[in-house]
Amino acid sequence: MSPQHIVRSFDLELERLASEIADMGQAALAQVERARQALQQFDRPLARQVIADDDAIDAREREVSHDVLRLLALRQPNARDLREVLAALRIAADIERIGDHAVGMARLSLALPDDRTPLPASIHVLGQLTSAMVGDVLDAWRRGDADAARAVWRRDDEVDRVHGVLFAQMLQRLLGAGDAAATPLHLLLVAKHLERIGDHATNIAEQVWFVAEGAPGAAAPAQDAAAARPR
Amino acid sequence: MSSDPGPIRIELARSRQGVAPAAGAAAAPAKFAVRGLDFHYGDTQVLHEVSLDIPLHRVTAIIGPSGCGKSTLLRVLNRIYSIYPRLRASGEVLLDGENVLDRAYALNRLRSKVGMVFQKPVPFPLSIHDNIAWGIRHHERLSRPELQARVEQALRRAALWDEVKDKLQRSALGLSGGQQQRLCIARAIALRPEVLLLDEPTSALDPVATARIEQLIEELKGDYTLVMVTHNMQQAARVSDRTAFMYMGRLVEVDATETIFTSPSNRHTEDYITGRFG
Repeated sequence: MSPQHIVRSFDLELERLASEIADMGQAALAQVERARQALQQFDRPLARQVIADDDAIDAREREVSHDVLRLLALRQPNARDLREVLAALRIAADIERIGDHAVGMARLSLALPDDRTPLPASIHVLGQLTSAMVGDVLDAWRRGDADAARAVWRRDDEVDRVHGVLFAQMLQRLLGAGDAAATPLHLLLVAKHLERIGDHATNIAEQVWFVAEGAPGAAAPAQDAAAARPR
Repeated sequence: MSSDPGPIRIELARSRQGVAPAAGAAAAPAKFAVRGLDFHYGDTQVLHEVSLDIPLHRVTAIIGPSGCGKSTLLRVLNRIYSIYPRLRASGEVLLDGENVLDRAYALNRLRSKVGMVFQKPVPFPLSIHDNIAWGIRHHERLSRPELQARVEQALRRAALWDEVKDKLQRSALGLSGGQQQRLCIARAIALRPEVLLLDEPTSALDPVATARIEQLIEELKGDYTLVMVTHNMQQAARVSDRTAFMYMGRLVEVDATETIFTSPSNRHTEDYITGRFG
């Protein structure tokens, strides 16, 4: 852990920024979880609540942007501090997008027919995978753990694979569905949202790596972590 | 805890491999090559095995906490220390391949190649014109028109001409602090040096005068090699191409300024430039 700054209030401002990101991340993760629940349980009031609660995440992103601007102007951070501040801005944008995808899923759940037909298992798997990625990458951010971030990063391959399977399944259904094509189409869109959430979790993992290691990591998730370290 | 970095083992200075240097900073040939430099004040050793290349036509900033040896290193580059007894340097300081620490390297020759500007502007109690002309007369015999041309050229180069051209015979002591410092730079470059050493050149100036000097440094680096000691890290970041971090008489790290201020290799460099000790 880095020693404290000589100017203690600088530490406090950086801690505040990190905690804002953590809170915003937890709020977005809760939105994703609730959107998944609304989808699985055909819970329309919950879906509407998810849509309504998105404003709070947007407001948090504006707070982070303001604090980053202030830190850059008044503290002129260098080196690791600079990377942390820059990463916070980028991560906040990714979290805000994750929130938007939760809203997208909630909207689609309202469009599904309320016939309680069980959803395909692969959509649950995709949901579990992406939620876990978001939770774990936020944890890696909190601890500044580049290796944990890279582990999350690698899991995006599995998300893409499951998304591919789901896509093929839905396409099969669509081809023979006729009027019933709407459901698989909506589920495809849900799957796309989940897949994008995985991408945003990956983006956050890249930022955790950037802060800890001082350089962008090599993009290939399958690459050996030690070999990808810039130094 | 906040002001004491504790006992540290300093790794030898290194330039990180595989990182693109900013603006070809590292690609320039070395004007100065310092090799294994030790320096003693009497029995006290203040520089330890410093090795550093100063690239041609670039600005190299030397940063570090008070007492780290950065000003001493600067003073070794033009051997100004040699006016004091009991000071001695060993190792090599190669200027275009010649060791300036060698007594056979004439001081006059060294000083004509390596000019210096100090923390506080020190104009002579003479006219603005004579402040510039005095040094030229000392080194060269020029005709009157040649001398006038040289004075004007130096004042123009130091971005001072427009402000003083109508009062060249007035005392330099009547100029503002920022103008006096630019006069000192003009006085140094009037001798047509190849290297300019700047020892905290703006620490006594206000922000506007500081900005003028920084602009001037940027303009001068096309023709001169500049080495600047500064306590102002943001100034080093703004002005220099390469930054060297010194601590306790050793060179800890030197690299492209962009690298030092975004992702330095050494933890002590990072702790210093992020304000965690100093």
